[in-house]
Amino acid sequence: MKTVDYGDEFASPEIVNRVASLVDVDETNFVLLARRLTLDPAHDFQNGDLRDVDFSDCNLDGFDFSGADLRGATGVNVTGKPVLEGADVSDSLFEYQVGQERYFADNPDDRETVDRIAAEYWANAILSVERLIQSRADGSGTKIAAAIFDKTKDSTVRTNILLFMRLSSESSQDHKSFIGNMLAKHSDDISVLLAGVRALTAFYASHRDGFRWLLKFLNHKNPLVRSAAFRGVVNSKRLPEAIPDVVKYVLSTTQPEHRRAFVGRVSRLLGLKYARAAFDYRENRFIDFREEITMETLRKCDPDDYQKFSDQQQSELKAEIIRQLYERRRLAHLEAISRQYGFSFCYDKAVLQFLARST
Amino acid sequence: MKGLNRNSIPDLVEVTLRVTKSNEFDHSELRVEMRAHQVVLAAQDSFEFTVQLNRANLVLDLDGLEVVPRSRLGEPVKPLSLPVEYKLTQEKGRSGEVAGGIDIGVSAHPNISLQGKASGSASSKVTSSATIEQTHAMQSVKARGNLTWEVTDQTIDGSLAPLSATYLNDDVLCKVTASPGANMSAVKLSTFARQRDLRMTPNSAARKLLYKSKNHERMIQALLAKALQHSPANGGVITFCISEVVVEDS
Repeated sequence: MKTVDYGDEFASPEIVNRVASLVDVDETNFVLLARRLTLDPAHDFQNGDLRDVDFSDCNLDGFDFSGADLRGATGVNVTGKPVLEGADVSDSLFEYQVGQERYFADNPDDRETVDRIAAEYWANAILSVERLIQSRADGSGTKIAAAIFDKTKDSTVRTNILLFMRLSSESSQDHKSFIGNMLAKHSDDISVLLAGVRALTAFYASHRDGFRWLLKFLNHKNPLVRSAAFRGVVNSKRLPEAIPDVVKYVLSTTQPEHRRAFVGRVSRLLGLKYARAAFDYRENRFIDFREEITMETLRKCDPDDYQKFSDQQQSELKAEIIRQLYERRRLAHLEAISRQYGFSFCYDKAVLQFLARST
Repeated sequence: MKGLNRNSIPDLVEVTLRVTKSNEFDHSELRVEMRAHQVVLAAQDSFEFTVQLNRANLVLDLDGLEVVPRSRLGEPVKPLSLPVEYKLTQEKGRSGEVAGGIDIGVSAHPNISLQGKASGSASSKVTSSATIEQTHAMQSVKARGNLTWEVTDQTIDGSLAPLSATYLNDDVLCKVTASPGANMSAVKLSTFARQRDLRMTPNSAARKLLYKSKNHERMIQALLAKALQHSPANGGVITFCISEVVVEDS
């Protein structure tokens, strides 16, 4: 005997078919997507899987994420106050907020300290924060400084607090979650934003959450922010995880040093021989893939590597043939880098003719 | 006594409950069968999502009954002391040259110098290793507080595999006895999963055309979870099975 069930349709077809409507929707804004799919912010995300969601440009008032898995969630220009009761907010932009709420619920006196210092003249506020952080060995000074950062509108005070906090944070996680919150909430203040991105670049570019934040800022409208973020991304150990995003950036950047840095980094990922192929020994820097590679560039190479290559060839070969074989090999390595990472090197006419003769 | 078993998606998870008399006087056994696998949700013709559970929860609601102590299935009891095995290995070996017909046997002495026709040197090698072994049983069904049992399928590396087996095969979930003064006894067993414990795997068309960003992916999961709920939203908790038994006095 079968167990009782609700009939042939165990899932509402009307709701399921809303999924298909997303085929034509490129919008990624979380709130707009929820509205599009007629999901109820007050109920439909409770206990949900919201890992790695991007909440950028979202007002989350009215959203209830109770019990949800919000690990890795990020976002800039995030406003509003969602319900986070029992949610897992580790490594997310909410981690800081939840931690602060818990701290000040247990230490209401410190809330008064925050209000007092935030109202002070900026120079006095900076000194007060520095004294506070130094005097509180238990790390609570950092929590109070973070709350002052949130409350004050003075960008000088904020920038200084960020620096003090790095020096005094008990754990990098505290500092990171603070930066994440700051980036989410103060994205309209470029000076604060730059301080945050530079801090991420300096300290956390190879951390999973730090790296994800930096990737987001590759698309920022301000070129200084993009540049600061790129520096972090290209030097991060996690670069291989985000090649398509970074290629998209380097293909559109107007900064040749960024393109060179990228070529250097990815060629090294493939191996020493590729890095040697991509290095311009005349200019002593990596090749910019937008600049034409000339025969002169091709000929100037690492002398030890060339010698090693030459020694491996048959002794009866003429020097000029060995040279050509070496150059052909170098071009093959450059093509391999291009294919692997989705961009193309430029060659001048002479190199193209050389390539055509080689094939 | 057989229960009234209602399973909204029996292909995904099916639970049946019956109550039997125990050998002990005045105790009854709550016997449960639980099977889990998968279902496929189709959105129009080309998009399909395979739905599985990473975790299921069984929660018991007793009326006029109490659980007999130490009778719950799958109690993850932590032992008061943990046995640790420590192994020390010592190896002695010999290397050297042998000349002529002299046989050289392994000696207990680590250093041997060979005189006369034989030459060479002997050396010994001593290695030691320590092994600490701790046996850890992987339990699929774990008793939790508040008359709840959690069902998972853990792999060797600690990650969760989707539920796809029979986890309870008429096993005794617990024993119960009548509460003093109770004038009726009933058992209700509900099986639920949280939205975040659903695993939705799209087919290739869905993955290619719909999963354009992580936000798209999570939104689709929320929508499909909502589609599986037959009752109005219950805080992201989807109840799949309800079994009820009225326990009669014999």
